[in-house]
Amino acid sequence: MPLSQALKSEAYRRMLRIRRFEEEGTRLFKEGAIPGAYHASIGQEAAIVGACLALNDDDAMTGTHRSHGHPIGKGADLKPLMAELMGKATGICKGRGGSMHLADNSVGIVSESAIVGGGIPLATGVALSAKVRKTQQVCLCFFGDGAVNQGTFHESLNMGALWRLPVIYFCENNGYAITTSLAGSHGQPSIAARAEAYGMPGSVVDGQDVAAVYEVTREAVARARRGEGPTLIEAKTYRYDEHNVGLLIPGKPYRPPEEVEEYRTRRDPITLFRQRLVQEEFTDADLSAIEREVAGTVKDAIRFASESPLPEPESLFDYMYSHPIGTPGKR
Amino acid sequence: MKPLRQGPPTKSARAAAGEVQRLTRELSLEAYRRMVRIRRFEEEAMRRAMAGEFSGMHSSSGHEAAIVGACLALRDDDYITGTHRSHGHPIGKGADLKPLMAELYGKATGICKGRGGSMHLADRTVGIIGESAIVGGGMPLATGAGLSIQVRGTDQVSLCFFGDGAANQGTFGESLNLSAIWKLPVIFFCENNLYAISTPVAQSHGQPHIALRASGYGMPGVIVDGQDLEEVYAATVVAVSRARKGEGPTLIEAKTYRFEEHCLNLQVPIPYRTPQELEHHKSERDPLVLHRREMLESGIADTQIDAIEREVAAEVAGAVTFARQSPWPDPHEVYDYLFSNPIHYPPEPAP
Repeated sequence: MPLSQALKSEAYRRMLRIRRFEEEGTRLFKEGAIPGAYHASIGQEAAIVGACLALNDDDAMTGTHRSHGHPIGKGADLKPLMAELMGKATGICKGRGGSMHLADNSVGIVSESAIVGGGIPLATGVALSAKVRKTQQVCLCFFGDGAVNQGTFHESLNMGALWRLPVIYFCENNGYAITTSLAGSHGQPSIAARAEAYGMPGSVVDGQDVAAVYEVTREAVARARRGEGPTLIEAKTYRYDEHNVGLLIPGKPYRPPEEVEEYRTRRDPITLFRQRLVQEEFTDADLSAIEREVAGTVKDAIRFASESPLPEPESLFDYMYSHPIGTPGKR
Repeated sequence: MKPLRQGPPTKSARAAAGEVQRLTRELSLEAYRRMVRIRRFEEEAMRRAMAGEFSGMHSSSGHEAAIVGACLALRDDDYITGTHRSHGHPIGKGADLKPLMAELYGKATGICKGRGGSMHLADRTVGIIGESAIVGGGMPLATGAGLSIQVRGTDQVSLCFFGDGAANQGTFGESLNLSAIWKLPVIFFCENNLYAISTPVAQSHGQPHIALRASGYGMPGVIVDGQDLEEVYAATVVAVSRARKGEGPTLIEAKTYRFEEHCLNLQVPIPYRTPQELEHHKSERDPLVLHRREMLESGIADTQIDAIEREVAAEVAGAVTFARQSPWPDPHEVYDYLFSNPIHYPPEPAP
């Protein structure tokens, strides 16, 4: 099923929200307003949004270390996300998680984590839960090309296929695990080809084409809801920035500058989609209105985050299962 | 009867086997000798264990053609890794039976000096670098051995035995991918006996053919009839030759069958396989019977075959005698061969 008129403008809006959020986040990180590490999703917007738009609001998702885009793609409010980046009490994890834990439960995100491949068994478990509870929900599991070589990938996909669980294994293949190219880390270059091993369909899609990603994910979601089991989708995408902001990689470049330039100028998912929308039924004014709206939303989120208080030091041991030794537990 | 979960027809593989070397008469007899050695060793060990002479074991009866067909394709200096069901692997590679039987008895003359027992018959003299009960644990070890071979620039290969259950461990995915990228000289050899203890492949694998997993890592995957010695041998020869040429690993899936329960004295309350299925394999698909028939058809005299059986029977009896008569390890040596002593032994006198 292709993108409807309403979804097209929503797809554009969400991609832009990710792009502007990340651009501003990167700037704030460089200025020192955001602690920790910052992994930007810039370049991967179409893969994220195309997949998320194929879900219902109550469907579940798991993210990764590069996961600011996932809640935004699923429709999350930007304010608690930006506040979380700044470690504020109003953040989505009350300032305790930071950049790699923007798990907004209100839009179905059950987890984001920096453990490479760690989300894959979680998503499989969520799908098992949906199956046991007969809820018709599906779980969309985001992971990267590096995670595919973790044992959890192998174990989870086999189990997902065996039990016909409603899960969509969605690989954002951006070509590099930090600096290790796919050719340097995979026995053969097609991640989708691994699906055959488990008896599930595997699809490759252009991750820079939001409409194509939507269609292929939509099909996988429908299959999952019918009880026919999981699908492995490989979206070929690209990361514009370094693995994380400020990461200096000494020695010979692991990717040529021309390759990055090629993606930025010719394969940018937002530019490509905008051109297409203008050729179709949208006017330049329609799209400019969305762009202004998104700029305002991101600005509001930054103001909200900046003005929010830091967590109270007395609340440090709240929300823990157990108090570490010698701490003044409240309970 | 219940259809067996066997792979696609294997006659084509047999035809392909004609393109590579077939077993010579001499190798055919040696293969039979090794298969009989495994079978008689296992049968005798089961009897002795049931009589209480030592504790538990996992019998390889039924797997003989898969084991020996694979081992015969190797050189003496090639490596193998084993599993929990691994008495057959050293025997298939040509090990002396005496230290193996002594190890089952926990005697000082055992291959691990009585410290390992049934699941650790790692006879390094025939290239076995590890046997372990950790399901899927041998795959990274065999991969590491393959890397060592590549780094040292020898033309050895590493052959990794594992079962259908281990194919679902994460180590499988990680090891196969790494071996394929680096084109390591490894043969991943799955003895698929259709049941992980009592869990059928259909209840533990997204699709039934383990060999189909190979293409996802960029390596060839081959299904062979694991009860057909010659077919296993031919497929392994191709894989070994590929590995020695630096062309990388191969995944071989030998469809085989376990004649005994998962392990000695295991009572599985709910039947997981039908008595008819077991009986069918024992009566129609016994690898020893099948190979004996092949040999007779190829003109080998039955007197020659009978002589092998007599010799092996005497050898196994000799191994039991050796094991029984061997001493126990000296209690004072309990902390020998450890990287570190857990407690001071003997205890230091108080100051």
